[in-house]
Amino acid sequence: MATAVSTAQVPAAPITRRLARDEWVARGGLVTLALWLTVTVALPLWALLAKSFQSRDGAFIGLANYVTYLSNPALSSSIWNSLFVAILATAVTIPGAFLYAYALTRCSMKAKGLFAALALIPILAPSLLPAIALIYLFGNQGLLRHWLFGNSIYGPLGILIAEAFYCFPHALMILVAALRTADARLYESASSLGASPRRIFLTVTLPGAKYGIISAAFVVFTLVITDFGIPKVIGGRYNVLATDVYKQVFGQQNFEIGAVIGMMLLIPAVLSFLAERQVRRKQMALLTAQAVPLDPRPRPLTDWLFFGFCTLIAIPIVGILAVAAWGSLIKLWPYNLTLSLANYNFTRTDSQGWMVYWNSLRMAGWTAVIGTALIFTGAYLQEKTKGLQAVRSVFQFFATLPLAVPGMVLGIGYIFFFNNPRNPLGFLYNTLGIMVVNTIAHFYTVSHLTGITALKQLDSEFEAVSASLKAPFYRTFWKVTVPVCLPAILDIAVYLFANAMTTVSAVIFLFISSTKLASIAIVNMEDAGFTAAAAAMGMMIVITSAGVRLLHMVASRILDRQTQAWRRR
Amino acid sequence: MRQPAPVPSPEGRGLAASPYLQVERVWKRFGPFTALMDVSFDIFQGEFVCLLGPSGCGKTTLLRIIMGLEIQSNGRILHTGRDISSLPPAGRDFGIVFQSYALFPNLTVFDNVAYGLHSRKMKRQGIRQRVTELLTLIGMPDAAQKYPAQLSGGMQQRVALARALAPSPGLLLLDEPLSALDARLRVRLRHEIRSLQQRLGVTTILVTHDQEEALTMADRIVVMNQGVIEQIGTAMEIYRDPASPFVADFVGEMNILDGVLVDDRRVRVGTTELTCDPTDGIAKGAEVRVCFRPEDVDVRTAGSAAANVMPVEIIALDFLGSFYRATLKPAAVGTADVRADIPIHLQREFDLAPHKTITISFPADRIRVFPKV
Repeated sequence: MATAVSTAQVPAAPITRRLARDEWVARGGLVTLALWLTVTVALPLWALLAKSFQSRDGAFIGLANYVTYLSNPALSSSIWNSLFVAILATAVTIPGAFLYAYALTRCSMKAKGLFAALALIPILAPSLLPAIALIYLFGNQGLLRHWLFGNSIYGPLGILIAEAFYCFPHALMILVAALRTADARLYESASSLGASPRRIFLTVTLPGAKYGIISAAFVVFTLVITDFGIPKVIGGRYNVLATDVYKQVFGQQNFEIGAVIGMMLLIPAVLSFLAERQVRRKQMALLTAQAVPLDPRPRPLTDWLFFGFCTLIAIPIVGILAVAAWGSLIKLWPYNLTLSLANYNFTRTDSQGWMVYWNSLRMAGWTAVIGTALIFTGAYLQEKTKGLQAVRSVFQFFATLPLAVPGMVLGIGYIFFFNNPRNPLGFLYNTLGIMVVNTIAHFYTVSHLTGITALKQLDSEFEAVSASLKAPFYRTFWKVTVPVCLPAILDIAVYLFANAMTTVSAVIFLFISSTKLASIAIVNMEDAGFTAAAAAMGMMIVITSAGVRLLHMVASRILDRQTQAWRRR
Repeated sequence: MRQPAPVPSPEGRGLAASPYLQVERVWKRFGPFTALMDVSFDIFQGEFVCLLGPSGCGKTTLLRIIMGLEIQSNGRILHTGRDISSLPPAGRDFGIVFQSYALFPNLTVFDNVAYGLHSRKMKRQGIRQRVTELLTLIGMPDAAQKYPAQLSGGMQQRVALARALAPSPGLLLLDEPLSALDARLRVRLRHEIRSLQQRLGVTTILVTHDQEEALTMADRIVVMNQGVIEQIGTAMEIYRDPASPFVADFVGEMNILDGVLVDDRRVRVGTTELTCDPTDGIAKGAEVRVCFRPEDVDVRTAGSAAANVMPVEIIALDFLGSFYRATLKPAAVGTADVRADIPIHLQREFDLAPHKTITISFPADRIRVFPKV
């Protein structure tokens, strides 16, 4: 038998394969992108970490800054405030979102599509907007302030309500996905075994959606604890970590303590991120390929109850946006309620006037264009090319890291890293460019995963086939991969654009007056007491986001029609 | 290991005397796992060679090494005498058809087939001509403007073949190209691919786990198991003269009984002594495996006292269309059941039925004896 051949006869020289020109290109691209992520994600975070262990003149002082921070109750009480608000907001949001998702997936009530669309409205707005609307309603001059029985909206109550509004669609999307994957066969078995609806809910529905619920809870927790806009506008004197970072860095110029607070913010965010990832993996394992989709049967009483519930949730969601819109159109709240567009004349309320809006459009546009090209190419190189295992793992780690990093943390990391006089990239500082770079890094992970998911659906042998046909990989990338993945590429672009329009947390540390963005202008106007102008600017962002999504829908439909010939099965 | 001469008889097909592709002492290790162990064989110009083996035997790894998608740990691949071990896939001269076909979904059949021609900087007119030629060759001259999703599985398979053949590669590699198709279509495409290959004279390697595919299509078959070549030979050689118990069992149906070698021409199974062809290299008295195919069991000796006979009881007769597969229990105690294929007319002639006792015989040259490992 051939197994008898002794290993001793085998020549020892290892084979090294020459690389084709396009393989050099692929490796070069991967190294470049890994470097890009190192510079735009890893090094700023490193700079932040280092700063938290340094004295003002840059000497290493160990944990001294942390000790200073923790021994000052005025500062460290924010940790508990942040945790308190985040946990409470999670506890409020998840049950409501769960029932809403249940109604959308497991009932046959009317107007499901409309309810789904209405619930997603808050995604269009920066988190500041619900807070501003709440001030209109319950603030010192609010229409409905007597509803609070003397309690103030400024503080934990306002933060809680605004965060619930802002996080609702994020929780809803996860829960809808979790509830939609039900296997009808389980329900048929349960009811054929004589289980009551209540028992089926407790033994089949709830366990099936368990991981979805946990995952949504972690996402909401992270969103709230890292959010800056809402506590800034409506928090009053109630301090949380995100606003503390801002105060230390901007108000007090105390960068070291700012860095410590940044680390305090990073820790729960990273823990929550890791836990969520663990849970999501389990959720995936629950899905089997043979699952039979569940088709809910009409149950008039239940359906109407859920209809009523959804209406009860949808009205304030629409109402809060409507209040902001209305407020932006009113001449002088609450004394002169005539409608006018005067608040949209931003030259009166911001030194840059409409400039900030155009800045936002430019920043979001560049982020979408450069970010999409960069991120999709990176996803392709990671998924479809070979070699350089070490670089590949570094790249993959840095691509997933941003999801765990709060915007405030990334923002001050950028100050420390790019504003360092020894950094050759310092010329980027104080430009619109650094905001584009920062925003791409901030929203990298979700876009990257969208790209990877789309690429995984392609035949894994395309690259081998094109090599055998002597076509370099980049030709196949351009001729086949990009056209086939165009829907996902559009998704990435719209996601980046919409987030770039609404984000405040990271870029608030990076602007100068000539590069101020609309979302930042809202913070400034609100600070200066121009609430109506802030609402107006918020509405401009909502209108822009809605417009882009509408455009996306139209583009998708056209794309769909044009590619029907080859997509049809 | 008994192995036929490494160089096959090239007569009749006009094969060149020097090998077209040589796989020379190739090893492949993945960490502690050895996927290929000292694999060597030659392929001649215009030959159709099948790599046959169960899943996980290393045949696909070997194909990927020949393509350049994997790099062997040791050993060389020579193409017309030139060492191509260090060349990237694009630097080698082959066309490939995968099991999934990997047709580009957003390109028409025309653009798919023309894909490799653009890389050759061909003129537009030349490309059009070549694509038309190939589409005619695969019998789909009107499909040029269709998209892959609009074609049946068999048609997609043909387009993938045309795309691989378009740049006129020296070597055609087929990686389980028929596995995704239904049985009837598979049989038809076997013949189509084979006749196309013969018409074009392109040297071809087919990887398959389907022995029928290998037997019907290949000039020569390389049988692999657990990273090792078990046997190389023509379909007939491998079927009639398997070099190892693995080949005997994997290719076709085989009865394998335990026995003891009495002398170099006689083997005892239970209490029956059978005559076989001379066995060399096995010690007298050694435990052996006695192999014979169900169709070589002769039931016409029923009742007579010919040589090499064994009395058996019929346990079951399974009707399989043109023949019966009989399960026979030898009268000698402690011997495993024997399967025999009995043509319909013989079953009628001898009125064979379950529970009857008959005598079967084996031609001496149909018995293969292997040492027991």
